[in-house]
Parts: sequence; C-alpha cells; structure tokens
Amino acid sequence: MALRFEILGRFNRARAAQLTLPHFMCQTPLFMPVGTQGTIKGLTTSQLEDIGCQIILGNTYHLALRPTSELIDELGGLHKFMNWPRALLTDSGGFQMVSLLHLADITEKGVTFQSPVDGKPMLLTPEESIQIQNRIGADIIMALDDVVRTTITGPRIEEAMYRTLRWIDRCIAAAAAVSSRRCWCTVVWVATSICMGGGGDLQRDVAGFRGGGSMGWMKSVAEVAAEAERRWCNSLAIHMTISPSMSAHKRPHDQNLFGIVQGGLDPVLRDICVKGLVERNLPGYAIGGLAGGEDKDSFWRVVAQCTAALPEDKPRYVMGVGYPLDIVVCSALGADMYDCVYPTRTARFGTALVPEGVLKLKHQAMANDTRPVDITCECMVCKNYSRAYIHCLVTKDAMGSQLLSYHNLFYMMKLSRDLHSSIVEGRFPEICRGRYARYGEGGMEFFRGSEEGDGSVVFPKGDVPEWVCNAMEVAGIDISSCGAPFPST
Amino acid sequence: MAEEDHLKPWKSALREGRWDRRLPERRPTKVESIRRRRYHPTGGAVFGSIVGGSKIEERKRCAQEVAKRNVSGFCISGFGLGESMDERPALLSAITESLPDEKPRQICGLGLPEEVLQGVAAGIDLFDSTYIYHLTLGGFALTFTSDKMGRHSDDQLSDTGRDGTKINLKATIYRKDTTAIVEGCKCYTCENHTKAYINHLLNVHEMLALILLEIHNTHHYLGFFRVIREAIKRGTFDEFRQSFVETRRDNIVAVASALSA
Repeated sequence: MALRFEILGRFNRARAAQLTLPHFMCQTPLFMPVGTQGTIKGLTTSQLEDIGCQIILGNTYHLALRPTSELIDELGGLHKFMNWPRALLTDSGGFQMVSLLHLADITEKGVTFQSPVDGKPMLLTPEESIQIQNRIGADIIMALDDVVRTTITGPRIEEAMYRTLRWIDRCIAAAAAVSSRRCWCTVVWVATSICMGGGGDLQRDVAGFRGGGSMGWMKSVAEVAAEAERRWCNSLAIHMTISPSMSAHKRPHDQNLFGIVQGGLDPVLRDICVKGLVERNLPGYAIGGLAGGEDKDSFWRVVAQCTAALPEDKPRYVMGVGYPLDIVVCSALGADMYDCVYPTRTARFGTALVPEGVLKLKHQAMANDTRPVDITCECMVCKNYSRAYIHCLVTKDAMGSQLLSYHNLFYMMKLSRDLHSSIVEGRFPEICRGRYARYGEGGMEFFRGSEEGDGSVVFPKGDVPEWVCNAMEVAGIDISSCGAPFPST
Repeated sequence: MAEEDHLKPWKSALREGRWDRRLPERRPTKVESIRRRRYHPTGGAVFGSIVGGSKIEERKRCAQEVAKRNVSGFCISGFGLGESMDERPALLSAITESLPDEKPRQICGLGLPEEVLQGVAAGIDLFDSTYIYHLTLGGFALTFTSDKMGRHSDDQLSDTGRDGTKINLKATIYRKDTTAIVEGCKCYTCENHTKAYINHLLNVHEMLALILLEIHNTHHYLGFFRVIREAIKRGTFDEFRQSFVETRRDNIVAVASALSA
C-alpha cells in the first residue's frame, strides 16, 4: 500500500481527510477532473495546478490505444509524459464496457474491444489492464470490473457482480507480480552493489531519492525498488538478451489498487460485493456502476449502503459523480473522492457552473452582460473576462471552451476545498444549508431557503428534491429550514 | 482602418481599365468622406488604405494622395495574394517613398520571415497575417534560428517535412522524442513539454496540441521581430537580412538536393 489516509474531521458520516499519495498530499472530499487521453481538454498542466487540482484521471483503454502504454513507460510514465507533478488515477477500461458496448464483447476471460482506430480486436483482461496501468504509472489504479448499466435488470447484474469479485483476485495477483519482481531486483541490486564496491553508488542513489517528509520516504523506497528493477533487468538484458518488456519499467513509485463495488441497484448483491472486496484488504474502494441514468432515489441509497459497509479508515470513491449537488449529498453520506466529465464537457457546450446552478453562456441574454460569469468567483476567468465576451466565443472558438473549463474546474476545486474545510471546522451543516455567516461571501448556497432568498439560489422556491431530503436525513444533516421536500419527477 | 475599395486580382487585364475610375482623383475616397463627415466612431486612430494593384504608378499616386489626408497611419493592402516575391520590393518602395516618415505603415498578408524582411527593408512598421495560425493548424512548429548569423545545424536536414525552418509534429519520428521543440526556447511549451507529448496530442486530436503549438509559434515569431528591431538599432539590419535569407535558401537547396539524391 502506497497511500496514507488520515481522517482530520467528521460530521456524522461525512469525513474530511488527508490522503497522502506518492506524488501528492491530497485533501478529501475531492473532485478529480477527467483527462482521458493524457490531457484535460484545453487546459495546460500549469493551469490545472493554479486551479488547485490534486488528482486527475487518465484512461487505460484510450491510452493503451494511443500512444500505447509501452511508449508511455519508455518515456518515463504518464506523469513525466504529460508533465503533471501531482497525483494521477487511471480507470481500468471497465467503463468503456458500457460506453463503448457496441464495440465490446465481454467474457470471463476479459473484454474484447474492436479498436476504433484500426478495427483490430483488443483483448482487455484483468491482468492486461493492471499491466497497462502499471506501465502508465498512476498513483491509484482501478481493478477491472464487469460494469453493467443500472438501468438494466435481470441475471446479468448478478453475473457481473460475481465476475467482478473473481476479476479482483486476478488484478491483485497481477499487481503482486510486479511488486515481487521489484523486491527480488532490489535484493539483487543491493547485494551486487555491496559486493562490487561497498554500496557507494547505492547509498548515493538512495540519498538522492530521499525527499522531504513522509511522502519523500515513501517515494524513495518505491523509487529504489523501481530503479533496482530497471538496472537489474537492463543489465540482464544486455548480457542475456531478456525480453524487452522486462527492461522497460521506469516507474518511480508504487501504485494503489482500488476495488470497485458492483451489484446494480440490488442491496443484497451490493452487500455481497462489499464484503468480498473488504476481505481482500485493498488500499481503497470505489462504488461503481452508478451515475448511468438511474433514478436519484436509488442512487443515494446504494451510496449510503456502501459507505456504511466499507471500512472507515480507507478512501471511498464514487465513480462518475458529477453534479455539485450529488457531490455534497454523497459527501454527507461518507464518500471521499469523485470524478466526472461533467464540468469540462458542459463547459464545451457553453455552460458555466455557478452557485445558483448553471449559467448558459450561449443564451442571447448573455450577449450584453458585462458581469463576470460568477461575481463571487476568484478564478482568472471571472477576474478578467465578461459574460458578453465568453458568449461570443462559446461553440465558435476553442477559447470559449478553455475559459469555461477553467472556471468550471475552479468551481469544483473550490467545492472540494469548502467541503473539506467545513467538515474540519464543524460547519458542514451550514454549508449544506447555505448559512455561511462565519465563512463569508462566496460560500455555496445549495439549499438556501426562500426567506433568505435574493433571487439567486439553487432552489429559490424552497423546492428541494425529495431524494435530497431523504439522503440528508439519513446523513443526519438538518435542512428542514431550506424548504419542503419536492417530489422528484 | 478606413474602408477600401474592392481589391482586384493582380493580373486581370479586364479590370485594369475599370480600376482607374476608382482612384482618388475621380471620386472622393472613403477616407475623404470620413474626413468630411467628421466620422470617428470611437475616437481612435484612422489608418488610410493604399491600393493600386501591381501598377507602380498607381501605387505611388494612391500613396501620395492618401498621405495628404489627415490620417494617423497607413495600411498597405493588396499584398500576400499570390504575387511573386520579386515583384514586391519595387512596389513597396514606391509606396513607402511617398509616405511621411513620422506615421506608421502597416501591411497585411506578409507572413514568411523572408517576406517580413522585405517589408521591413522597404520601411514597413506593422505586420499582420495568419501565418502562425495556419502553421499551427497544420501541426507545424517554427524552428528557424534568428540569431545574428541565422545558422542552421546540419542535422535539421531530412526528408520528413523539415526544411530547417519548421517541423511537423505529426510526423512519426517525434513519437518518442523527449526534447523540446527548440532547445533553449523560453516559451511555455518548450519549457514544459516534449515533442513526443505534442505528437500524441495531435494524433488524438486534442485541443491542447494547438494551444501548445500556438504558444510556441507566436513566441518564436515575435522573437524574430525582436531580433529585427535589435539589428536595426545596431545598424546591422542589411547584413542580418542577407545572411538570414542566404542560410534559409541554402537549407532549402540542400533539402531539395537530398530529396533528389
């Protein structure tokens, strides 16, 4: 395990924690933008740092296609390839089973995809997925799970859940094979160095690797192991012509394998899956198979059930979430990590995220509006550009997408920071309710009641959706002052 | 910029006759009309347009006439539309000789470094073109050196679309190239990213590819203009221009020979 998860504050089920990964020390709850092909569309890595991104996602399926994981490995891993100094997480390719189902054929062995690039079949097994993710080098890697849409019913869901458990064992075995090879190489390297010259080179290398604090220590052990593997395998390759794949590893750190809970919307299946994964004692757990069009009432119940059953001391990642409202609710229920294409995708369609909900910059009313997108936002876009200017650009020039993506991600990072700090400072219910007298201006106003309203709130008429009310009740957060429950349509 | 008359193609004999009717002597130009109406929409500077096609006499006449008007500067139009580089110097000189020294001269459509040098030699101050934009769209990155002697290293010659002035990052030879586009370039792209990464981004049609290329190309091109200004201040512009053009010409000849060998 190459992560540390330390809970700094709680409110009922909600937790704020410090998640220390090999490349970055993160604070949860956190949102992870999706950079499928090794880039967040339209934003540079410097901008992502300015915005405050802590972890970004890459995708195994896409990166294995182009530029291939072998190339990424040869060039030093994805961090180096895209020059992202903070943390990375790679999805296993499982989601493509759903999104690219028309190109996929799922069997016990794995998933066969038809490559959209050249039409050739591409078999993704649990072992292959781990090896690809190993070569890419992310801090967190996801197990290959059998993903089904929550909108389908029938025996397929049960089949997928049990298969996910069988596949997690294969993923664990594949990840362990890498670790043991590294242990062996480290031992041999240490022994050889000592025999050949008192270990001077080795001492220098270890001293060079050592960085500051706990992260540095973790990094140095992992880096020594990886370096050992590389040198030992390289020298073997020179002398004994070993296969190139053994000498290709240049990753400087270890990886954390997260298991994914499947089981559709069936609480019994979900329970079996959670228990099965917890038995395997993984570094972290994800709740998968949601955010695919199921009704919100079912959605929150699955999240609530899983977060209640998953271990307290490990991070919980709800995949594919999403809307700011959903993130607040899931955090209240005890989840820590989220990812979604929503903020960046909606930006490319001209929609900005604002405290009141969304702002459609394409709308004619924006054409003469000289205000910034969000008057309370401190991001570079809101400080420098007007709605009118962005209105001209959206859907016509890439700059429109870039500016809105920047703002939307800034919004999501601010949301993450607000959730973390409010839980640590004991203000979490206030953030949910929208009263932020101590917090100051610029706080989130999700459930502000109409009596306080100034016409610019998410639910100005106090019509908070029923599912939200139910979820917050289970989470123990009182939002009754925000208005009466409004049945979800 | 003052509205200008419709530009005619360079070699259309048919239109040449009609062209005369549009010259300042026969009817008031738009500039004239603007002055009369005291029309200054934003209170900003108005540049007068110099037209006249490929005829030296007409260009001269237009320049002289517009120079008489109360404009803040001059916009020389009708270039960069397919005329040959050999035709240009005489026309440009004819124009700039008739323009007052103390007002800026702008030209549209000259993008190539050699063309810019032509314009500068003739006395042009401001250049605008879509050169950078089109380079970026095509996946090209500028690599020409614009130091004093304009030297290019031999290893830039090859048959992969490189000609010592630019490289096409879509080429597969850059798949694993972990060097910057131009060693020592201080732009954001060269300080942070490799050719291999940009090659990947271009292959998967990611927006960031064009962003990074545009940053580099703009930086590189503006750097070229800075070198020109410094050469003029030092009094070495002619020497700089000559060596720059000769080196590029040598490069292109060498590439052509390599290809035909």
